[in-house]
Amino acid sequence: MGMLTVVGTGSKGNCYTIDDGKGILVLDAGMPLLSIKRSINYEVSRIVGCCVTHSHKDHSEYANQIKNGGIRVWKPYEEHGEARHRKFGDFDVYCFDCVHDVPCYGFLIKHPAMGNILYATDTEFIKYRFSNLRFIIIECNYIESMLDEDLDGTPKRDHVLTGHMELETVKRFLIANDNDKLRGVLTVHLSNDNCDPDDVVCKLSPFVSCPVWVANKGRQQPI
Amino acid sequence: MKLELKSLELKDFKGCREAKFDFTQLTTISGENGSGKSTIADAWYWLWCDCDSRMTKNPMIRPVGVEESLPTVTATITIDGAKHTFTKRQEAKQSSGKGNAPISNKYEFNSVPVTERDLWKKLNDMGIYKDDFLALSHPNSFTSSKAAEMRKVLFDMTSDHTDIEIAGRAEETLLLVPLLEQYSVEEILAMNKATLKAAKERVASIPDIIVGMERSKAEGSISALEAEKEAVTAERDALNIPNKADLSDEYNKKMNAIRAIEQDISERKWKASREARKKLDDVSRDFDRLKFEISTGERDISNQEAVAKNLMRNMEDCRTNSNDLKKAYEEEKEEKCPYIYTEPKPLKESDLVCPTCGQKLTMKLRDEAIKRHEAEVKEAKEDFDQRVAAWESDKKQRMEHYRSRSREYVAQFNDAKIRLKTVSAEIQRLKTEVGEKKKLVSDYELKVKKQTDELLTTDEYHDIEEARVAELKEEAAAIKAKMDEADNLREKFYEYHDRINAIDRNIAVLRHNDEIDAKIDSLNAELLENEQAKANAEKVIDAVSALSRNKNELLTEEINKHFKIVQFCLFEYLKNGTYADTCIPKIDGKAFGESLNTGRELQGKLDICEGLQKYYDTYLPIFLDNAESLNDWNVPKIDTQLVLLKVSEDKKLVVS
Repeated sequence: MGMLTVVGTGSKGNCYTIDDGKGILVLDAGMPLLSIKRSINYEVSRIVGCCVTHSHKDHSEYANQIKNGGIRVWKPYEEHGEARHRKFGDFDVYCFDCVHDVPCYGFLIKHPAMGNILYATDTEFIKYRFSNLRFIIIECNYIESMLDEDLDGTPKRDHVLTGHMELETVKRFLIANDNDKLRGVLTVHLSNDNCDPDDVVCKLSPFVSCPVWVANKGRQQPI
Repeated sequence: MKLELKSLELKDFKGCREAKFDFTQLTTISGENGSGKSTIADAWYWLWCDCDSRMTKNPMIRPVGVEESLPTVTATITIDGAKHTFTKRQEAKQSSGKGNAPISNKYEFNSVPVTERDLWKKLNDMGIYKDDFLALSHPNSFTSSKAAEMRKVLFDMTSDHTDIEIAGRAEETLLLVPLLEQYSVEEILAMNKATLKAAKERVASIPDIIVGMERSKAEGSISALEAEKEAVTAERDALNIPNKADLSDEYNKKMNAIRAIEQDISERKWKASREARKKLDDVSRDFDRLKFEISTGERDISNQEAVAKNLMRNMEDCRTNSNDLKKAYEEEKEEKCPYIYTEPKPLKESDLVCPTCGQKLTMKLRDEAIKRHEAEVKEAKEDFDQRVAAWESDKKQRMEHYRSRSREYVAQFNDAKIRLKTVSAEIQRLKTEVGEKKKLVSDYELKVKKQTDELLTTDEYHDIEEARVAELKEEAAAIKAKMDEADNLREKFYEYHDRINAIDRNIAVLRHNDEIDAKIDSLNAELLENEQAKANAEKVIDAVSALSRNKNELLTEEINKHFKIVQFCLFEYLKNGTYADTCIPKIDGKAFGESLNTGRELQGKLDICEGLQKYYDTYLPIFLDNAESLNDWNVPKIDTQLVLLKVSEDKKLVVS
């Protein structure tokens, strides 16, 4: 069994770690290395790699700091997705295209013990279906009904919403990818103003055969 | 221990010439600005701590304008009820040099002179300590010291919570327990910060090295190149190159056979020709002579032609020279005489006047002058005639010279012309002769060939052999073509070979990438190891921070129990969310200097002094400046002796 830790989530910095007891995989580099260390009991030498989804600061700001710590950092968006697969310790990581305002990639992580884990954030929708997912870490950025009507059509609104996933989209994705082996869904990157964690859990839970959680800083979720 | 001030005597101290003040449990000293209130407090603090009431060390205390006067302060005090006198005075040391004499402080305790050291030893025995004196008795002393110093004092006031004990209470700080058995918190923090710094510096250059190495990697993939190599190798191996040595042997054999047959043929031809010649033997001798004569004749012709050519060149030269001379002659003939006659100037009237006296010359002298002039004219005429005659004879001579030379050349030309005619005739004759002989020779050769051919055509093998040669030649050509093809194929083979070599080289370059990757991996491993070392230090530092937070939370309440109105804030969260130690005294939630009124602030400062004095059981008089900000009923009721310094309208100091 592994452990998923939320080092940071949301616009202030996204970073998650998956620990399989042997190695630790870091997803996104939006939090300083020291914060990562604190959340993995300072066992930095167990980190096997770091996968970054896209170039926005809340996902990549500390990629160099992590790289300079001697950790392999994979940024598929810098290679235009040429290499679709990388192996970090026991983690087989495959990247796939996401829909964002800059090149962005999601990751399918295959692990011999933990099964298939999906991580997708900053994407308007996901154009693929995945089989046998064991755990899903997925963005649920906003709820349509919570948007401030006064801001409709303004550039700020466009900027906030472009390339992010709405609750309904997440729901459709989960329905399409639900399976018997699915153990949990962790929703991440919730907007402070346009989303409500309780609502997300309530609205998504009925559609999957496993619990749905909302990520908050410091949360640890066994996988 | 309780120290009370009964009276204070000042002599030559700042603005005070000589004065004595008496004190009770609560004394108020009031007067207008500059009336000397602070001087009394200055004298008190100088007596004990070498500073003034503003806590300035070694203040200037000698009276202005009479600096040679040396100040003396005598305090009458009770310590736990027992009366003592304490005197401190400045004294000039014996000085041998110029300038101001150095000054030293002299002490008397109960009128007995003592050294400073002995004095404080005695006071320490009574429970008075110099280091604590200001903090306990000066309202501004404690609050103006550094946060870390204040914290140290305050934490000393708590019950016996050791760092180890607090560290043992929480899981996050457990790792500090074994460390705290050997080191203090400050040492642990300093050690780990040093570790962190050293770790940062140790690998500072590695990331740049890695970037450089990554840039130096070649692009491409080994597997793609290996596939290409395999394909090219297969193409190369598919080339079927015939063995050139075998072909060459075969070719040589054919060529030898051709040569043998051809030799045979030519031998027979030669034999036939010899037979033919034998048959024509009668004419063959003439034939040789004729050949000899033809060659002689041809040589003669070429000799004569050389002569003719020479003559023609001579003639041309003669014609050119003769023409040049004729031209020179004509030019000479046309040339005009270069001399022009100029007559001497005629005599003037002025010539007949004496140049010295200006008188007309005498007749005799006048005649002489005229005669002299006539002689001059005659001489000039003769000279001119002579020169013209000489020039004309010269011209004649030169013209004659040109003409005679020209005639010589014309004669030479004519001679050569006659000789050329003779030589041309000779050449013509020789050519005719040689031509006739050549015709005879060619006729003869035709006859020989005819005869030979007649002999050869009678040979029945001749045609067969010719056919065989042709056949062999065809076969040889076919082999040659095969050999050429072999050469082409071989060239192609080498092309493939070069391509394979190039691919191998590229693969070697890419293999170097693997080496670079291995080096990068080892550097990354080094970085990661170092990062772990940093993390270990950070873990301890974070634990120390947690310990401090826990300690603060635990002890804040305990510390603040010692004070009535002041509450110390011992930690705060900074804007970036990090936790930091601090020490801020607050009243009603407000820090000093932050919208607190002066009176409330004074109350707070007194509260701090009182709290400390109580805790240390050391009661020392407190001098409170600016006490006019406090109403009498707001003066806190405290156990310790209080001296209030108030600004008032009084011209002179009023002590009450």
